Amino acid sequence: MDLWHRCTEHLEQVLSPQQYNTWIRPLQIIEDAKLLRLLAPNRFVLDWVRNHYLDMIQNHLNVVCNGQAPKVLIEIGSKSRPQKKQQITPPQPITVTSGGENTTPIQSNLNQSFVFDTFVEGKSNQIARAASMQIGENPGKAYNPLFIYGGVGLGKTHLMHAVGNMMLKKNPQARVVYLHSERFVAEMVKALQHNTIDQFKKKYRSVNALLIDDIQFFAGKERSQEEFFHTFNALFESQQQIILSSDRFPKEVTGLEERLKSRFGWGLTVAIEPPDLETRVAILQSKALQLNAELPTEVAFFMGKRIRSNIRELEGALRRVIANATFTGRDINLDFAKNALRDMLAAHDKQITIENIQKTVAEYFQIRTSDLVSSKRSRSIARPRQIAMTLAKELTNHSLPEIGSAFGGRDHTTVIHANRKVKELRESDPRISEDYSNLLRTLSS
Amino acid sequence: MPIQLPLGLSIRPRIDFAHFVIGRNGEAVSRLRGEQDPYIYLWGDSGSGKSHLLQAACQHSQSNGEQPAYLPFKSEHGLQPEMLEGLDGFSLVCLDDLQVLAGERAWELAIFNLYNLLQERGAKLIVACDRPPGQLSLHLADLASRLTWGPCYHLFPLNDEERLELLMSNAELRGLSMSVETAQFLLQRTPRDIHFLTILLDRLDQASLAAQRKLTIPFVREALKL
Repeated sequence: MDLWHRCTEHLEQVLSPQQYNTWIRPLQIIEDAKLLRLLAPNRFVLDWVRNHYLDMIQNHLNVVCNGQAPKVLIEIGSKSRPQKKQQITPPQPITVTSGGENTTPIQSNLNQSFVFDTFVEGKSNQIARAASMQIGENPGKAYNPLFIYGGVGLGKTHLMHAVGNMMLKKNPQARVVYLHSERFVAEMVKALQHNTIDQFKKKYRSVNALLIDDIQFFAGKERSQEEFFHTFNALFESQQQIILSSDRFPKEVTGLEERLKSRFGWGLTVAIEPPDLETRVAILQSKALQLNAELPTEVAFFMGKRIRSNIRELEGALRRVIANATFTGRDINLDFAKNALRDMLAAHDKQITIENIQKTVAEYFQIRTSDLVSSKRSRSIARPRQIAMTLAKELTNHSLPEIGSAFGGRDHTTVIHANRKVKELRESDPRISEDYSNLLRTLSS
Repeated sequence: MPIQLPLGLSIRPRIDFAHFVIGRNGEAVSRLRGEQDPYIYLWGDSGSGKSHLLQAACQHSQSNGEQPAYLPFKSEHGLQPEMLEGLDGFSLVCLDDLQVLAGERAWELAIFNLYNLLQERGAKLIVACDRPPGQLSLHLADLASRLTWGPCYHLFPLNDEERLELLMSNAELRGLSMSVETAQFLLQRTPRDIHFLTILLDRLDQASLAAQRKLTIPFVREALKL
């Protein structure tokens, strides 16, 4: 048995399981006769282990080796990651080495399972999908930049990866990079610390396509915005493709410099809306197929009706149903799915109450909850009230008289009127439509 | 009779899958042991076995030659978001008691970044919490939606029979022989929380060794002053 193994057996006995698992288990070891190097994943773990456990480790080794123990050192680092025994649909990062002038390998970070074939098209995303496909066919020329915006979990990231994967399929030499804006910031900070900012600049200004997700995370980070501004210009001028995503329309992203916002609007800006019921059902069926499971249509409709917030949650619920079927060896039917998702749906139902809806709507429109239940009839109060009533009808099982009563003792016909009005406005006024979608998403996520 | 002084060491029950009393949580345990899910969310009350399962998953992963990390946010104090850096190179990361961090922006952002990186690299993430994902008050909607992106399991606490089984098997692990009657006696007279039962067993272990006596009902009654 090697020395470190003997040492961990001792530590496992003297430390609490939590301490052992938190601080000792993540350490990697490089061991020889004179030196035992402990590798910690970061500075924090290094300091903690050094302050709390290093003496204990060294003392134990001294006892075990009769004073001939190797010296123990701790440093930040990692051996290459051991391969998993098996991986199901591993989203593997692809390393692509380009030909021509740029010979530095570049990691694309693309998830190979995010392709157009697995992206379910619906009314809510068809423009975004069509634009993305055109870019995949004709990068740098069709629309540049492409700006995709929409709420969380609606498929923005999937589309960006799909474009990247398509570009690489058509041209395996293309230098395509996907990254989250936070990572762009983190890499830049690291480059500044290590005096490698020139390499950083060169790397991102030499790509054929730069796909940056969730650019709202650039907000307030001026130095990163400055660097990104120059990267953007360099890529745009050389007709390299830029695709950006955000949770809202570019002009509405707070904390971003105006010059960036205006550039984001130079190409095409497309929205992804929350999917309608039919699309949610289609998504579930497509995912089930990918996971090799049979999902009857009525089950897909049941799940699609109950889980509206975002596609990730839909997929989480589907995975749970399939896991349950695999575990019990039973076929998936409606009763089975209801039972498998009982906890999840109960947690959902618990959360959405009329009070919660009133509070959320009031906060959203920056009015008081008491205004919603008051007799005030000014538009700035009445409109949010109508929206809140409609949401209460949509998201709770309360009767219309109960909803009316919860809004300051109003009649149930007022609730019916509010529903009709909001439906009309959602069709005629994009702003109301967006407000409604935002609230629906907030309440049901 | 001279009292034998016990050493300050006790044999700790092993935290692995084999020593988890499954009860009604069979499906969750089978998914945790399997490789199908890149991400799993567990929730349940204190004592429902969340921490045990996360640590068992780490033990399982390491015995397969992989590199796991376990981060308990409630039981370890003074942790900082910086401690998540570099963990994306690991095969498995387990985050325990996530509710402690909900609402803390720096932590939420660090977990969000870790989630994305682990996903990109095909590594596994297991999160445990005292409530379902939808009831965590998170600032970051992006993180909230990601936390729903996988099977979510409510861990059920053990029923009386399962508690009895656990108590007796943990006693056995310590080399103690406990009869069904003694175990029932304990469960009827002490708080039935799993953590408390573990502490109780530690005390009985020490007392039994010091007094050189078996765990009979009279001895247990005397040792624990019940």
